Amino acid sequence: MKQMVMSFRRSLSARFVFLMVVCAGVFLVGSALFLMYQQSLVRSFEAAQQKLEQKEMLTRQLDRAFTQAFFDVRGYFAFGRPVFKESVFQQQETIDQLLKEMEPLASLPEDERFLRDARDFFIRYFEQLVPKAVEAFERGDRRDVALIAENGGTAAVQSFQKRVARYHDALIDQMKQEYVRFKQKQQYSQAAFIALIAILLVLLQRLLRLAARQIGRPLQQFAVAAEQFAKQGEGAEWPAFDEREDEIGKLSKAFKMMMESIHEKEGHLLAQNEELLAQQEELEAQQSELEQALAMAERREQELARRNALIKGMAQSLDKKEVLTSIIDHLCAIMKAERGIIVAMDGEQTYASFGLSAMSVQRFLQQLYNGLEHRLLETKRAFAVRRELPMFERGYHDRPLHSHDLFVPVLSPDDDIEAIIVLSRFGAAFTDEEAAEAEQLGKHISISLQKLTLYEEAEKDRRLTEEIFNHLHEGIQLVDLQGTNRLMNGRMKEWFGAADDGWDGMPYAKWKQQLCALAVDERTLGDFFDQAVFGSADQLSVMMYELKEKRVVMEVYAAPLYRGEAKFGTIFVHRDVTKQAEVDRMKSELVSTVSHELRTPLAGILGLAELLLNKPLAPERQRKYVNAIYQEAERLTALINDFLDVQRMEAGRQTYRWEPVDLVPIIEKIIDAEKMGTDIHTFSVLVETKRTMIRGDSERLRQLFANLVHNAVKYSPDGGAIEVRVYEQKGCLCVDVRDEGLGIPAEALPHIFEKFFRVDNSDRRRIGGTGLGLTIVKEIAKAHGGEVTVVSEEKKGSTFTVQFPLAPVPQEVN
Amino acid sequence: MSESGHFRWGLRESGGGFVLGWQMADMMKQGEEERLKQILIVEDEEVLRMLAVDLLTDEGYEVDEAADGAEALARLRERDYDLIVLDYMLPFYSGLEVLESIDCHCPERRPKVIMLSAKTGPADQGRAWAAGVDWFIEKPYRPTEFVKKVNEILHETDGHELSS
Repeated sequence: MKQMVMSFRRSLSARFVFLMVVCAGVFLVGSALFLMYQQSLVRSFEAAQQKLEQKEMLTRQLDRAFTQAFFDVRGYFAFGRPVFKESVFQQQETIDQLLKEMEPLASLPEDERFLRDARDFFIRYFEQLVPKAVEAFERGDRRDVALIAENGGTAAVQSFQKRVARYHDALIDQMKQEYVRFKQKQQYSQAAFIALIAILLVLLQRLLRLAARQIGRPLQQFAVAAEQFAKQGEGAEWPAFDEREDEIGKLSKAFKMMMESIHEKEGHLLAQNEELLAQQEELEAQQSELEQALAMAERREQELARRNALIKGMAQSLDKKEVLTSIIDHLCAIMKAERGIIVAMDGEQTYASFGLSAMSVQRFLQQLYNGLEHRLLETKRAFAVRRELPMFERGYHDRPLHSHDLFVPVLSPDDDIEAIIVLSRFGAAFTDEEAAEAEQLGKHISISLQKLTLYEEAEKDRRLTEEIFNHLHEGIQLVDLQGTNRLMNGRMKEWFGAADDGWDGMPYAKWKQQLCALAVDERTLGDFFDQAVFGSADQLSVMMYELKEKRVVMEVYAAPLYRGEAKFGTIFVHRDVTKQAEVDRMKSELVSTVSHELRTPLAGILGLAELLLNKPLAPERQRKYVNAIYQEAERLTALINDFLDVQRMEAGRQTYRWEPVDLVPIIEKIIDAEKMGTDIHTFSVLVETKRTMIRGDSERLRQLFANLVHNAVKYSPDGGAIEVRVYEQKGCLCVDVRDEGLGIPAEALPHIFEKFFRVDNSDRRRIGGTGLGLTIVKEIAKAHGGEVTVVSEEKKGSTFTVQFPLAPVPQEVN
Repeated sequence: MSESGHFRWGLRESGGGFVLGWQMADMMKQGEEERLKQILIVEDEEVLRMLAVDLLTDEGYEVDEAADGAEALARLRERDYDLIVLDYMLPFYSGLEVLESIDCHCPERRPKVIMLSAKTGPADQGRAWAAGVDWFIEKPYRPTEFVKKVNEILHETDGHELSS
């Protein structure tokens, strides 16, 4: 108990919880009592009500039974039917039963009185009145019956009926009263319950007020005091709750201690604060120093950036004009100049300007060696001048303006002036430091200009080499060790062209495939490339191949390229050798043809001679053979002579003795000779002009016409007319030789002047010949400045026409 | 004498190897037993044709001649030959074309072929061998050797019969 009291004192919450529990307990007990009372009230009310209801019911039954009995008695008397009499006795039993039932229920004096009355009437009615009347009725004495009724029978019945009704009403009243009483009791008990709740509420209110006083007020006082303390620090009045043992008391003590501790620390903090302030001032001073340094550094950086931009601009381009423009732009920015110009002192006076009109620039360039610049050329040092601007430079300013011009030389390592820079500004004059800086920059510029010069020279050389390289008749390709294409000249691209741009750096497999696709024999060329690029063979390798579409014969050689000892690539050189190949082919064909032509008569001569030597033969056979040998030998001689003639003429080694020659006697002499050998041909010579002289070699002209006339005879084996016509046409002397012989097939016409060409025709084949006669004719005519043509129709004959120029006669050849 | 006794090269199996030896065949004896061998000479050069005809006629063969390919084909259609001496270069149809035509139209009547040519390039010879000629002789040729070759080729089959 003591302990509980102690804990109540020390703990506000315990106190509060206890009071709350008490309140709740009172409420619960009150409610329980109220409910129990209510229930008992209802139960007793219900019991009373039940009893009354039973009484009421029995009363009603009694009433009904009596009434029935009365009706039955009257019915019996009226109709005399025994059924009614029996029913009367039945009713008598029922009523007796009912009366017995009612007896235990009679609780009130009134009930007992009614029971007594009922019993009395019962006995009187059923034992006196009814038996008498029945007897009288059964005797047939109706008067007696009536008499009995009038003598109190009917009255008794009526009075009893009224008595029953009264009793029944009293019962109903009782029930009503009972209900009213119950209701009243209920209301009273409810009012009592409400009163209990009201008391509890009042109690609670008192309790809350107590709590407010005990907790709220001290807290409020604490808050005010704490606020004061926070605002003012010292001097805050602290409410005294120290004597309390509960939480408030503890809070109060703790707060007090805290305040004291804060008081203590405050002084310390103040001291520290002062120290910090001092330090801050020092830091601020340092910061401003640093800021100044930073600004300086930034200025330096900007300056450097501009210089870098200048140097970068110089390095970025290899075009002189571009470089100069970059230099002057950046220089103006560095030197803070409004305008500037740089002129290279090369032959072309390449220049670049900043902020200058084209006119000003022209004027400057014209005056280059007359003006102040001359001083620069002499002293080779930068200098600055101040001058008044002429009217045209002032623009819209009225007052005289001054410009500061800085002249800077760009000196080469040999101290030659490579370029002149002039910078102008309107504001401040150029200081000596600035002039020195400009001079310094001039050195950088000089290096850049020298580099440019070198580049230009190298570029010129490179272009020259490239031009030569591209205009070579050989296609040249350079590949590295992996076979990747590194260089290809124009000719090469022209030949293998389609992918004009794609060649640079094209991998081996790709260019090989593209090149080989153009060749007739792809694989061989591919193998050649493989061997040349990856093979170990160090020596030059060569091969020939043919291009499919162009029908061109190519020769390619590959050679390894060395830098020192190490191989670094392979060079391919392609050459168009179509002409050479053609010449070779023709040469070998000629050799083959000549050898064939020579072997054929030789075979005859040799064979026949051996036969003659080894076999005894009849004399006529011997003569036949010797004759044949002679013919073949002659043919061989003619062939050799003709061939040598052709060779000589074609090579231009034939010697001609030029003199005026009359063609007619030559032709006539030949005709005469031919006439001797035939009797189936007729000859005629028609001379239709008087000018039959040309300048020529009479011996060769004889050979020419002899060949033509002889052919005419030979190729008209069935004879016919042979006509030679000499006439003048378009300033030329023409000679036609016409025959009526075999003629020349159209397809053979273009070839008949070719060496060893002979028309394949059995008729012609029987006719001997070297196949060189017409070639000789052509060559001789050509040497005389003329030409030979032919018109022919097969089986009708041919006409050969030789034209010679009348004048001027050809110059002596050889 | 070489005209009457005909020598030819032959291969005879002897033990484990081949022995090259002379074999003599008596032409006259066999000629009596058989019909005369028939030869067609195709040559466009008159003199050479005459030479060949005379040489082979002297040897006892029956010889026909043709001056060009067309004529040769006509002759070949008319009768069977045992041998054809064919010039390589002929007007109209070349020697090779004549061979081709025979192979194409009547291969069963293909005679033995000696090809003559003044063209001596290896390419020409190669083509001739490829066309299936039995021998190739360059012009100019020695008549004796030519005759010897003809005899050899015509009796090659008999030679084989003898050796077997």
